[in-house]
Amino acid sequence: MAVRASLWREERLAHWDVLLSAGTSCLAEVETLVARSAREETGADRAACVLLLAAARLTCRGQVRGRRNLRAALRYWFSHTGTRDRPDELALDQLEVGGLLDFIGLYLTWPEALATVGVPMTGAINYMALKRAEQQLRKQCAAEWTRLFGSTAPSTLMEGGESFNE
Amino acid sequence: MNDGCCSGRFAQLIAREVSPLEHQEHPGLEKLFDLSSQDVSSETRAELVGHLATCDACRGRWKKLQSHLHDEEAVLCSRVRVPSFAQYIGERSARRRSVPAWTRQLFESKPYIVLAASAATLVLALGVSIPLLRGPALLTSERVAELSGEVQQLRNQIGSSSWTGNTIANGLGTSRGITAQDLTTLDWENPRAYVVEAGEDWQEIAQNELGDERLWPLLWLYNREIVPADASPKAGTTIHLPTPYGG
Repeated sequence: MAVRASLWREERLAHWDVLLSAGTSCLAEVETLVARSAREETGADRAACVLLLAAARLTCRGQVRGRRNLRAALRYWFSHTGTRDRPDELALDQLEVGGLLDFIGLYLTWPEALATVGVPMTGAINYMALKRAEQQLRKQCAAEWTRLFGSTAPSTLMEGGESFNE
Repeated sequence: MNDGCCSGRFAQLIAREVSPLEHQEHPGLEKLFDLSSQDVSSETRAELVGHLATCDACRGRWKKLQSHLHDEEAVLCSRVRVPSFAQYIGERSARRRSVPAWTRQLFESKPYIVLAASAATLVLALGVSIPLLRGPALLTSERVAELSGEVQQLRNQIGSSSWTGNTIANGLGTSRGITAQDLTTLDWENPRAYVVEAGEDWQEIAQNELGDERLWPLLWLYNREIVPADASPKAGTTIHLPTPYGG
């Protein structure tokens, strides 16, 4: 079971990679993966499945600005994972088509994350864009959870602040 | 909002997604290279991304490889690119079109500037080219005059004697260390008679009669019609000697 969970995680990461680099993903493939794995998964892995599905769904619809902000938010969160490995001079323009591996360990600031999706780093920092992307994602996660499991999403996913590990 | 820290539920979930996994096998350098050069199928890429995202060691290797490839690419891009034939022709015709158009436009708008510039260019060209053309000829004639002066000076030093002149010209004197000064102290045109004494040779005669042993070859040459070339002067033979001036 643990091995299978690891394999599913790796599969999900491949989808995250496509989502970060292309800005969209093959929703059908993500749905298949989630349908196959989500019921067997538990705790944080299940929440991760829902999060991937919600993000994949949002990148396939909605306004351009909303999709762009969501992509920036995902890049921002992924950049804050792994061991810090940030070059002295960061070429943000080259990161526009960067994938998951390019962002892990970069520890971008929010304006830098926005710059990777084409928003210039001038003027006031638009933290509201991050907030809105988070709200949008939370709402979509709740909807996907209900659709998949027929119940309301747990507070761990909706409220945050608690550990997902069960 | 604390920008330096990634808090929140999604950030936690995402951080957990890329947390390290225990891998039994690791991709080789060849596969990493293929991934860097985008030369992999989508399935292989998915597998590699899943692995690298959850394996710090492999991700480190891949990043190092990326860095090397990036440096190499920068070096290759910095080299001069050879334009295609079409580009070359296009640029050439553009240049051909642009220069006359520019000058015509300037001539039409400010003709006096063009005329003044042309006149200045012409004057400058003549001013530079004429001295350059005349320069070598002037230098040559000056050099000839200088050499002529030196020749005349040598002639004056040698004096009017054709014999001494020939001697100098043959290089005999110079090869023996005899200078024109040595020769001009003697009158070679009006010789005096000298009877060779027993035991005397050319060196002794030159030393005793002319005061300079070095002059013996000239004596021998001077008397070549009297004394055979391969013999010393015999006692009792009358030979010619130059007369010292004022002597």
